[in-house]
Amino acid sequence: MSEQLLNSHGFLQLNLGKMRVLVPQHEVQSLESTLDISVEKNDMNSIGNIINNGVTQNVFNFDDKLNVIQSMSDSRRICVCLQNDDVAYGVTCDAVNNIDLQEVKLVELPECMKNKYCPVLYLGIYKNRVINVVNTSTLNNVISQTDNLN
Amino acid sequence: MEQNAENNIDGNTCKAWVLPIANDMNVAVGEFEMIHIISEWLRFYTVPHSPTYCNKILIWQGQLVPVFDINLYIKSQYSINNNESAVPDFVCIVAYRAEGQTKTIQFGAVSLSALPYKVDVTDELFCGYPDEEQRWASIALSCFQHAEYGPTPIVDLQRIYCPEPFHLDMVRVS
Repeated sequence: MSEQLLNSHGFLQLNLGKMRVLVPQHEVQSLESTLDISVEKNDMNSIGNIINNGVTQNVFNFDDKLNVIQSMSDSRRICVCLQNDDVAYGVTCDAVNNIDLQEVKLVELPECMKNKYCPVLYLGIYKNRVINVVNTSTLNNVISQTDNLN
Repeated sequence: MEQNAENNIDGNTCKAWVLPIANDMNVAVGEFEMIHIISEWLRFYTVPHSPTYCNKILIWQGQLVPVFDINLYIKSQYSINNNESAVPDFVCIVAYRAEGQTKTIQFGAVSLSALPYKVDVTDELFCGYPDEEQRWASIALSCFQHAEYGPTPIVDLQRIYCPEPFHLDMVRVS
């Protein structure tokens, strides 16, 4: 998974308040407006759902500590639809930027910072800021773990 | 007492840096393991859902360096949550050899409550860990009796920064 991530053609930066999260471009299915989110909830932790390529997907909202929150934030304008082989869902964010891998110096998350609940696979320095590289699977772990806490 | 050969002065005495990690707690590292003290304002970045005792990172000389709060690790039974930990008064940069074939020099940061200072350590100062209930054995090599502050564990930086999976006890709390 890690090599596949590093071989990704690029990353999409999601701005979640102060938090900057990078997801691999190949896992991004589409960008939608948050205006298209239906408030009908199929998952108790979601904020609603959205139809992406004819398929209804849960949409989740994360705060700037990457905790799942069950209400929509005013600043969220974009819904990023993510998909891998196992799961598909939407994530709301304030803004997105394309980032080329060449511009980002990535290092693996230090061993002492790892645990099975941490979605961050790599850390990077981009324009003198620290960015967190996650993927659809590890973000989904945070969502699943939120289920366990509730 | 395990000794770093590089530190050995007369075969029995070696120099160590004492790192104050809290008002009531010190640890020690070898003379050449601590390489920089940072006393000015620093920008810390929090890595979400990392262990509370090590959820901050800083940029030092263009590198990302994890900041380990040894006091929090030792005293906290519940080590993982997504809360903010306190910003340290000082940090020092330490160097250690990475595990694996390359054994490259890696850097880490330790949260401090006061500035470090040097002491001489001898075998005769060997003593037990400050509190057997705490988790010193998982990160310390040995312990010596500090004349003023009592038992001072000598920490193993490789075990702190390169723990085997789940070597550092981690308990999830909501």
